[in-house]
Amino acid sequence: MRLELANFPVKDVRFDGRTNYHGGVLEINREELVALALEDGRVVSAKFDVAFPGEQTRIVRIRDVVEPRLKLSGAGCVFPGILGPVETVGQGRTNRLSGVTVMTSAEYKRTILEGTAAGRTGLVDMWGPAAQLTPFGSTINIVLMLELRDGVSELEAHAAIQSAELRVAQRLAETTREKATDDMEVFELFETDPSLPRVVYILGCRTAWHEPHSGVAFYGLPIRESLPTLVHPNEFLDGALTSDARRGGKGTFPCTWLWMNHPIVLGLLREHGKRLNFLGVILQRTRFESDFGKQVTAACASQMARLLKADGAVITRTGPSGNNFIDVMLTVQACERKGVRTVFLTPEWGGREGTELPLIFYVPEATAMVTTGSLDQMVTFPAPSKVIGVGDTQLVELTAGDPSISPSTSFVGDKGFVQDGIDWWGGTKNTCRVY
Amino acid sequence: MAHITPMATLAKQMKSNRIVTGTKIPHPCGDPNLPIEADNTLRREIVKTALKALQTGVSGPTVFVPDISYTSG
Amino acid sequence: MALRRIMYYVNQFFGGIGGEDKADVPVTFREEAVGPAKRFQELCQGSLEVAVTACCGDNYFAEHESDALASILEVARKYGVSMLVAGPAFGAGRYGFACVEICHFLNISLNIPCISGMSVESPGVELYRQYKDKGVFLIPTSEAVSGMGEALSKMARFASKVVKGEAIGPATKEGYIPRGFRLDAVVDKTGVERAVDILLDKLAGRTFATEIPIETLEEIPVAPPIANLKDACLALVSTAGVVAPGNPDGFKTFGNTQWRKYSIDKMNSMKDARWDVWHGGYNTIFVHENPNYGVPLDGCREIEKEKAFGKLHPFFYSTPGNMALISAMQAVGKEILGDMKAEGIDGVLLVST
Repeated sequence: MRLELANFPVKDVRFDGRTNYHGGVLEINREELVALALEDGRVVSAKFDVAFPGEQTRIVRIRDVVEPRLKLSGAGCVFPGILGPVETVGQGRTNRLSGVTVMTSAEYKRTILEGTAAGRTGLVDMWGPAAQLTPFGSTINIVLMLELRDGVSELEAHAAIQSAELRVAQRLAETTREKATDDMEVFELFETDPSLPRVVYILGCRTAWHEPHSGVAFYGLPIRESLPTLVHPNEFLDGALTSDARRGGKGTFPCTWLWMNHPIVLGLLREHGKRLNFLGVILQRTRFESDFGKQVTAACASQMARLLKADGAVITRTGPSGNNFIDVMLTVQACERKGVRTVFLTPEWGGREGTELPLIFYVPEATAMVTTGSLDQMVTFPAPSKVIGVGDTQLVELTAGDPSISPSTSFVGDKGFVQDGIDWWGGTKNTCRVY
Repeated sequence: MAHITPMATLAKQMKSNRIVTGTKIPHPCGDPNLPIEADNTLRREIVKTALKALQTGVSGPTVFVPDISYTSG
Repeated sequence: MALRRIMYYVNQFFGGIGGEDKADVPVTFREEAVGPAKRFQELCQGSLEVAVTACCGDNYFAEHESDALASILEVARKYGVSMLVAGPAFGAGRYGFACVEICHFLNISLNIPCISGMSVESPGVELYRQYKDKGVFLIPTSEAVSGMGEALSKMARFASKVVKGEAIGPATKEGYIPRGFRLDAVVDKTGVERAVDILLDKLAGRTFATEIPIETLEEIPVAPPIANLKDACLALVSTAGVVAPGNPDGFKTFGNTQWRKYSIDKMNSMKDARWDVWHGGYNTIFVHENPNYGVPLDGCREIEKEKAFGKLHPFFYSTPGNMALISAMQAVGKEILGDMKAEGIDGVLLVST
């Protein structure tokens, strides 16, 4: 399985003329893209705006973010199972528009109003302290603002929002179809020197089986209560993993963009053949709701690693819940006991001042851990000069049941307010140091 | 104190001394997948196990397991 | 550059008064650098000056701590010092404690930075970690007094930075013993890079430094079993987030700091009244449908009728337990316990999700 990922960097975005990409500039015909978004009968209003890094702009009501990519050759399409038939992807040639995102800000009348199943939103600051928490503080964000018709169910809301954003992203990526470039990276798990350490990545992925969309979908199929699954890293690059498009923020479910640009998948692919032999990804659904379920997934994921003859495993999780943390820690323990050495990368708790316990559960085998920063320490959100977001942005609710924020003011809040503001996958240089 | 929770492993680490294994996180005292009679019986069984724990001498974190069979994880 | 005036503290031995036989001398002050303070001042190369040296017998301090602290504070105030330096105490137990207590007291009373030095094995270090004063720093020294030269050099270098108001970085970088604040910081390498580096080191058998140490929690003393359940009054506590309808008490979906008790008097099931479920950490539909899942009232009433236990307390205690600070929940626990004791409750059923 060999994938060529061709890179078309975007330095500027303008709403002007025909939709096209030329010399690093992405021009967008607004009417064309609005019409495209409205093709879905559930969308009653679609608008666009754009935000650049460094601007004093705050984007709100964010539900999902996508990178424009287009498959030129190889089986399937980008976002298989959703924009096209189910076909295993990760081969051939795919183009990407880098440095730019389609960021969806959407509003609909919710039917679930509380608990973890309720739709939630995130925000992004393009400047200031919160900008460096998320990759989107450094990308040009094309904000797609959607309003849905009344009477949509939660799952329909997800489908409508996702359909609009993926089709807009695909249309933008189409601008690269006839373009040539030298800027290409090849991803392949070729045969390596047999003395290199064999490393597998166990991707602990929180899903909620009894919610309308479980939070993470594999080829469009929401992952519910399944056992670990083996995935080729290239599949991530072609959009095989996507997020619940109703649920931004709170750091619970990484957005689609982050699945496509997965820091550890990319990092291990790039180390393959150099310092290690990357065996692949064990996608491990977590947050089993009984001790029993947690023990089964830990036994199963660690056994899969052993059957792959892994020497070591990089292990991560998603979601700030203490509940799913236990699944993953038990997996660390099960791997070590089977002779698969582990490194566990995770953000930590520790309270507001970093004086409380960093983690809520420990196993003695977790001897190698990497921290990506605190979940509890607060962030300052200064007053912006511009707010972009669907609907009335005077008062915005982030998570159902919690006090709303006034986006045009300054306030202090959690990292979880920020879309992908919590580093689950080690893509930032954020950490905790001891003072 | 008897601590009813589905997360017995976590409760042990938190040094809860009398732990009673609950059903599942969204419904620790019962199972909505069971018919009403069976659900009520299950809840009674959990409470009874908690009472047993309150009357038992322990020397450290101890798990008391009610008679539950799991329909899913 | 203006000289910053500081106070220096030494015990009776380093103050030149005497050995163990003089450990009972009370606090005295001299308007000059005494003992190690002299060399310390030199090493600071003009960034500060020792305005006053306080000296106290180790035993006197241990036996008259509050008096000694009060008198040191008064003098520190009088001289308007901007920093305190104490020790170094090396491996000495009483001297180490005294240094830490004085640093802590002056830091919280005057809000000035305080620096001391001692061996990492010294019992004073544990106290320093408990106090967690942001403005107090301990520099690690040898066990033996023969390490004085190096100890003073390190202390002087550090003190010069602090007195100039420079920002102090993480413990491993600046060389002080960590207080135990784990704070957000930015480093050179991404998390992925560090994870791969550490894993490869681990696989090759090289030494590596984990970024999160493993901690064990303290044991909770075991309560004796209830001898006579038939007479016992039991109470229900739940962290499932069952609250009064409309959430009039303003609970949050996560990070709560408070609790309430709600009446279940004369009810045979939670379904006999209306409730809301306020919890952002799990899917609340089941408990919403049937709150007995989170507060097993119906089961308890049936068993109460069978006289298996004395009676059920007419209130249940509630706090939604989702991502609250441990310190907040410990405070809640203490308060609930206080209320229960006042109400004569003998045993508790705590339900958590």
